[in-house]
Amino acid sequence: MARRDPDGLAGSTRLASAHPAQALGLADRGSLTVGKRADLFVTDAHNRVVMTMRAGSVIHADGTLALDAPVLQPAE
Amino acid sequence: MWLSDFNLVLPDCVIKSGSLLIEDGKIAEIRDHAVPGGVDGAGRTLFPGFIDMHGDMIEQELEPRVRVDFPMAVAMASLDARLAAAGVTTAYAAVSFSRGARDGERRSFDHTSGVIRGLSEARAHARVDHRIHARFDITFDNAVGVLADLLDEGRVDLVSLMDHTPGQGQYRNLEIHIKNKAAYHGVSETEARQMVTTAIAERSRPQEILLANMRQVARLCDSHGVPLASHDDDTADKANLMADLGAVISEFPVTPEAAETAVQRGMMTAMGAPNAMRGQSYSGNLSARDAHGRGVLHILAAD
Repeated sequence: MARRDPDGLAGSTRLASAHPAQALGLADRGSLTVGKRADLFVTDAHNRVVMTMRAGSVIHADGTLALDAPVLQPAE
Repeated sequence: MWLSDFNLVLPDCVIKSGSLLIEDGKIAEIRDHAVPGGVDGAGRTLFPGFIDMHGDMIEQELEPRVRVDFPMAVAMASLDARLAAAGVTTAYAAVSFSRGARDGERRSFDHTSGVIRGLSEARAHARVDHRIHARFDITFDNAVGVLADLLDEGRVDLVSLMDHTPGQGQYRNLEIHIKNKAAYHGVSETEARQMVTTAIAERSRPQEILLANMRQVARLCDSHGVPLASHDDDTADKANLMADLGAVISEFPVTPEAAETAVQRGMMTAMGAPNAMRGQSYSGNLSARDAHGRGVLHILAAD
């Protein structure tokens, strides 16, 4: 989809982030923009997801990124 | 905490070797160059967390084989880990109110309410921000009250109105539907044809009753501030009807005409990511790539 989108990777990424956030009324998230919640993920050169964060806490990591970030603690 | 030397996928462009500062769980600053002392991305790519508005996975996790029930905690743990590892940070679990032929009473409303309440409790312990997408079958008159109770309890975050009666919507091509059904159930096409005929008869309702159900659900969503989606719009008339009812999303429009009308009426359209990946819809309908090429695709969902 990134190859076909007039806006490339930024445009195809919007299909699964900014656009659903807008449609669902989730104003606090949906893009890498200052002020938004730090919900994000990192991919490597093989398009593998190596790390995922929700609100700045790590919720998935395969260990390949040298991280010094808080890990999400489950609610009691 | 700085994340430094990442390709940053911003809303309108990609910054090569940029940096992003996280403070108090939010994005505090973005720079177009590497910064010293941050987590070194070494040119990896940083995306916004994916928001999936329609995932059908929880029903399979709860019932991996027919009549084999798994506990919610086990099902949720598996789904949660899969989603987090796929970069999904907000996920709307689709739960059906319908008497789907596959499941018989499995999808009866007592069961569905139980699943929704269980999910609602289980999400407190999850990694991903799980939300609930209640799929309301408009031929299921008795479920309106059940949905109203769940909305009152604040357990539903999105409602879609669907009608899986064969012969319209996603199953408008009856011959493809019968072939898929025969393969799915491992039966002959003659048997599948009989199943489809029975399903049409069971679901048959006067149009006024269907419209009344749709209006009631639309009013409930409006009064609770919960977004409403339409499902499998197949004609301009159907898309117009759903826009009139206040739907903000048209999920899985099955014809270009329906998708274009939905967009003209200010709705956002959603299609299946598997459809985009394969280049075709499994039911022979509008391809997500085609919709994207026409400029009428806004959202991809796991489905």
